Amino acid sequence: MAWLRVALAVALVVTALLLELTAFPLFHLPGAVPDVLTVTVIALGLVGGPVRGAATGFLAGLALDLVPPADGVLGLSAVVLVVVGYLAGLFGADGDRSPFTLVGFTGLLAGGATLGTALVGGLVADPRVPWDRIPGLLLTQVAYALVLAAFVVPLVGALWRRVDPPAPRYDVGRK
Amino acid sequence: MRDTRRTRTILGLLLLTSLTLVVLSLRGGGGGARDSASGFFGPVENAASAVVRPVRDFLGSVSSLGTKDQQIADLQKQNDALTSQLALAEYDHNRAQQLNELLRLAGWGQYKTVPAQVIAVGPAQGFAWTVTIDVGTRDGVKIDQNVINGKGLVGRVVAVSSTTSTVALLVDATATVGARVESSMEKGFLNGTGDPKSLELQLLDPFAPVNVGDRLVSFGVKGGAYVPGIPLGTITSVEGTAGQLTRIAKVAPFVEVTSLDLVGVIVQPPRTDPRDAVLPPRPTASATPAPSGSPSTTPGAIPGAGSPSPKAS
Repeated sequence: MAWLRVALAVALVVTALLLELTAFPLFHLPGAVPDVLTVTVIALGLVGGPVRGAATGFLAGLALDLVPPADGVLGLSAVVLVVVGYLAGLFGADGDRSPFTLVGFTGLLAGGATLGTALVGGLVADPRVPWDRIPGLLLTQVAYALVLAAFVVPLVGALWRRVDPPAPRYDVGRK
Repeated sequence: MRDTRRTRTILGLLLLTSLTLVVLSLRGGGGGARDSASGFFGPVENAASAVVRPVRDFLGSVSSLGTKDQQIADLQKQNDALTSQLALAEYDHNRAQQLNELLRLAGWGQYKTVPAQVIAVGPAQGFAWTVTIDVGTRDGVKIDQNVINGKGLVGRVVAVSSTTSTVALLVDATATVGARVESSMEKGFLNGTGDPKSLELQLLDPFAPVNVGDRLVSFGVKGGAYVPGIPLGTITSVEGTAGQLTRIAKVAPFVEVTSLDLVGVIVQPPRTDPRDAVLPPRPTASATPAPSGSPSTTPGAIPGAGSPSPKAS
């Protein structure tokens, strides 16, 4: 059922991307825009393991870099989200964790994604990185991600288990 | 199992691919991929936006849930319907007003515009201030055309597909507009800072007199990217003293970028520079001629029309 998992991941990423670009900006929240794409990548990494997490992160980042209104350096989000998906996979593979831990981890890692984007952007001398606004962006990013994660992480987990019911969840060598 | 050599190889490969993309993009590649992506995703975003907006309007108007009593439920239902109607009427009214302001500004400046709707906004944590609008090449939009709303300059088109375009906003850190101070005609460069509330004006003449409250219009040059005479913003503070090598003034933009909705793309610039005739009336009375009557005012209301000023192509 590998294709079903791929289809689920692609559908979730596309939905998250559209929500983040067209729906959430309408709420005019201060600071960051609720980063449902990053939260979805983390949620998929948590259930799918490091390899699928990294692959999902790569696809999601590439989409964010390509889909309008993307502008500027191509691949910046992809670099960051590959690492984010990978880390989420490592964390999720580590036995059974409580839902609270998973939600808290998702919030912090989403903040890490923003920080990572700023750092990689600084490395390639992207003139857009607003260093004085980073603290505010980080704070709101983590806060919104925590709220989103409380819904997205259980939802993605349930969908994933429905598509992939057998016991071994983290076998990277099976597909 | 969880962190094998194979896992690391895959991570390494994906990272390497991303970094290659970054390097290629820095060297100027990747435009084609983005064009095809916008060709495909533009219509999808268009549709998503069309679905999302009514839902938002509806959610905003739904009040508390009904109770046991049938009559209360009926009244509640009626009330909800009326409230949502009211909310929609307000929404329509807002749009009508935005369109009116846009028409008025376009009429004063004699800009030929194509109206457009913002359908997607780049996330703030991605640092780029860009939006997608629902007009493209088939509406006559080209790269580098200016985007305005009723308040003033919104930004510049940086990418076009057949049905959508990407606009880099005035507040984006890569944006630079030639600007002229309304009262003294001094010229400078207005740079975006990435902060949606504040821009930076760099004056060409270090001895130029600038004051807090001075207003700026765009200064178009022949072959330049910006149409002359578009309202930009108001100076809020001046740093440094006269004569200092780099004098910077902070400028608050007229356009509120966080709540952009209806905009217009200038598909044909005016034949003559409208100068500062398009600035909104000053808060104090009798500063600029406040036009009365229909939105599309006659050219007579434009004092600067006909002067030998540089045109934008």
